[in-house]
Amino acid sequence: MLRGAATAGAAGLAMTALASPALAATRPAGHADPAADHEQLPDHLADGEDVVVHVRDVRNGEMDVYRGTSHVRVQDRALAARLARASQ
Amino acid sequence: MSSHREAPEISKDPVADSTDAYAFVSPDKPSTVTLIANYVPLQNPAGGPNFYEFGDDVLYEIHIDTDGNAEPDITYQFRFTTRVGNPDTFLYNTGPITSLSSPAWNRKQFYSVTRVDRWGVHKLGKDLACPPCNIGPLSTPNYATALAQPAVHTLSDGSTVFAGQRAEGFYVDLGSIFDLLNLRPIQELNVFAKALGLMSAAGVNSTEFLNVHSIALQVDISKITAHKRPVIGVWTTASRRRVGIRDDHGGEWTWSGPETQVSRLGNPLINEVVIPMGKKDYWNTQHPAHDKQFARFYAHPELAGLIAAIYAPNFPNLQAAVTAGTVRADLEAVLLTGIPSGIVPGFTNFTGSVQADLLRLNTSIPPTTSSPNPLGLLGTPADPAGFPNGRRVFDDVVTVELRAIAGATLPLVDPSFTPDAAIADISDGLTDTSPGGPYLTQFPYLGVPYDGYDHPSA
Repeated sequence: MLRGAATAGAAGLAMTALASPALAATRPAGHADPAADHEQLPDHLADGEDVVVHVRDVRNGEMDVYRGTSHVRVQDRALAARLARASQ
Repeated sequence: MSSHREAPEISKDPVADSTDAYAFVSPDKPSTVTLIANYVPLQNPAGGPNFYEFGDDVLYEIHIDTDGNAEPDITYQFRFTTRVGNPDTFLYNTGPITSLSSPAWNRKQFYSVTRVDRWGVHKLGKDLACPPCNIGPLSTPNYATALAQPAVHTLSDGSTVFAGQRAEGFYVDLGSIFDLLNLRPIQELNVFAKALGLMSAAGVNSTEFLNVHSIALQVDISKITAHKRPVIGVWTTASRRRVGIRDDHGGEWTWSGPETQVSRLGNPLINEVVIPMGKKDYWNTQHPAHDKQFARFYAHPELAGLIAAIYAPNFPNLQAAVTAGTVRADLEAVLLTGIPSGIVPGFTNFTGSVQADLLRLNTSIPPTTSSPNPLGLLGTPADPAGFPNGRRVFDDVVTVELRAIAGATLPLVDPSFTPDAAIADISDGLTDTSPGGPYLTQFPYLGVPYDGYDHPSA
């Protein structure tokens, strides 16, 4: 699992309700949304279910986001960089 | 073995390892088809105190293609849940397990059955009890009648289901086959064995007295065939969630994401001896509809060249065909499309031009109830109710496939080819009487699992 997570420049993190994958997917690449930290999550996302993020490539911000049985691929360089920094 | 430990990755994940798939018209209920998917290979019956079970974290599926496009038109899904009665004992059972509800049985497993088809998702059963593993006469007395038979359930659509431990029905001399294809009965012809002076010997069944976990389903033919299309393609899979994270205290797993296929099985022995090492794990993740990418391994099987070389000079015609680069259209037909009509008189299990590794069963061919031939279509006389028309629990698929790859079926598409006389001697020396116990004559057909007390060192 999380194959490739140990490769250079990649990080895999499990978080609870990190962010809405749908919102992240619609965000322009390279633009983090500081307001997201304070965003009021809809109930169906704030249900305590794990959200797992696999940063596939920190440099281009490509990430796989898993929640429940769903999987979306998003691109967000700033968020990927923040996650990589948090993994230190 | 048929597909036990057949690829590097899945050999490390036995609860998800699809080991054998069977599909046959039920001999005692010919209006039905029995489908069996086996997992968790090579079980030593004495393997306690944590005996074998299905994975709660694995999605087990039996797929059926009814229209020849190698896509699943019907899928039966099986999901398991384990319930521990008393976490404060190390024991699997604290006394004799006399029924499926016995409080002495500390680790029970239950499952649900769901059918997915073009009309939707249909829950056919839930909280269905598995039997315990067969431990021994003290722990699991009267196993067949008190524990196994009550674990045969009727689903809401009238189908019959069983999930639990069974005696391994597949027989094979693994020890000889994977020792440079040294088939014991003809090892005096093997170039390596000949150098050691080894002489003909009887085959040894490597799976004798081993158990396996089976999911068996008996369904009316009308429920799994399309109108005027009696041939179905069957395959089984196991899937796991995409992501798993192990907790660093307690060892619990967190699973996330969609399921992804980690194991599959249609025809026996394919990923074992047809697909090359570098593709085995990949093959397990692929859907049959994409099997054209593997067709060259069927058309030019490595094993054909090995048989010719290792048993040289006894297979000159096979060697010539290999040297000439002959496309094995016979194997492509038998294993990837089914046999078109007109090839074998009165028989077809052709599903169309889509190349896919499926177990193809012509459900209009009645079961052979009197002296069925384990060599199926390659038997003398041919038995069209057997492999490769589906697969029955007792079919000798090792001999059938070895002989087919050695050229026995090549004349079907190339009448100018003469099979080498030595083909008739190809066998690992085993028959349908080689398993340690008998097959059953009724559902679920695979025998009562061997108990650990009486088979402590299997």
